[in-house]
Amino acid sequence: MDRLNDRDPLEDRLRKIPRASVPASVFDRLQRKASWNKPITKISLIPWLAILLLIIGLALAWFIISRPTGVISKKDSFPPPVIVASQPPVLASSNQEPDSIEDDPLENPRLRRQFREPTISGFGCETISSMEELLLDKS
Amino acid sequence: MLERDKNRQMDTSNLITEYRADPQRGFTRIYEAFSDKLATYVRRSFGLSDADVADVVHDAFLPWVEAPERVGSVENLSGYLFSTAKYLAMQKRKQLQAASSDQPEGIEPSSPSHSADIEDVVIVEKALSTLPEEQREAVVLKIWGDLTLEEIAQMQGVSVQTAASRYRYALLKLKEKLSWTD
Repeated sequence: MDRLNDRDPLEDRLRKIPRASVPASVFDRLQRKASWNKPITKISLIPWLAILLLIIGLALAWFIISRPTGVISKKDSFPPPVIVASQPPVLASSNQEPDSIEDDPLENPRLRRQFREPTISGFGCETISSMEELLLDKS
Repeated sequence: MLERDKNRQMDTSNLITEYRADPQRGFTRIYEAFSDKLATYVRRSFGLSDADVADVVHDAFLPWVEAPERVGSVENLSGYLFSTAKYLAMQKRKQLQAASSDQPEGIEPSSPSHSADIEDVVIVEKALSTLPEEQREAVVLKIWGDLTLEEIAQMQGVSVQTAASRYRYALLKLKEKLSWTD
């Protein structure tokens, strides 16, 4: 290999032949395109600003949508509703024993559901158990 | 490996290190070191005109100014630059051949800076144009590109022995063609 790298007289002479040159305009063109010569303009910030505004807008929309509605401050609130005490449910034959299981609110699931609804307070009872006690007392 | 080749490889390694640290300054130094070598390689191996040579050199250096982070990882600077120039020159030659299929083969005389050298340049380029492409490339890369035979072998995708043979045969043929007296 060393023999191959030995300098030939022709090689020396060829080396003296000048290289081709590149016009200076090539370097100038490259410098104009260089990333380090490109100033950071406001235009390049626009996409980031748009993304930021979008995020803020989404957060605001989420806040507005998720805010609980119907919240009334104490100052503006209406006076508490007057609850009129009502009588317990009157069965078809209130003084008698229930004719069948269907009329018995303790046995009939439909009636039980009905009494479990919020309207139960309208009967003067707060819970099913209190209704049951009431009905048992009646019987 | 010759001392000259070792020094050249150290210089090239320093250039890429400098480029990684400061792309702007590093690029200027790389351009100064390689632009004329690349131009000579493209001109004498592919026979492109001066304008096309300028375009190829420009395109070869373009990633070095546009995306320093992409080319900063290059290890073999000269190998990378010459390979890029080779690819671009082949593309350019294909375009030219497609544009005018009847374009005459051969190398147009270039415009060297010193008028005294014009004659020698024309004679050498004419002699080079008669060589087979692989031999011409080997001799141009070795003489004016300062590449080692190992690097030439890598570029041509052949063994070092093959690259050395191509170079040796090219010199022999040039000696016959030029018939220079020492």
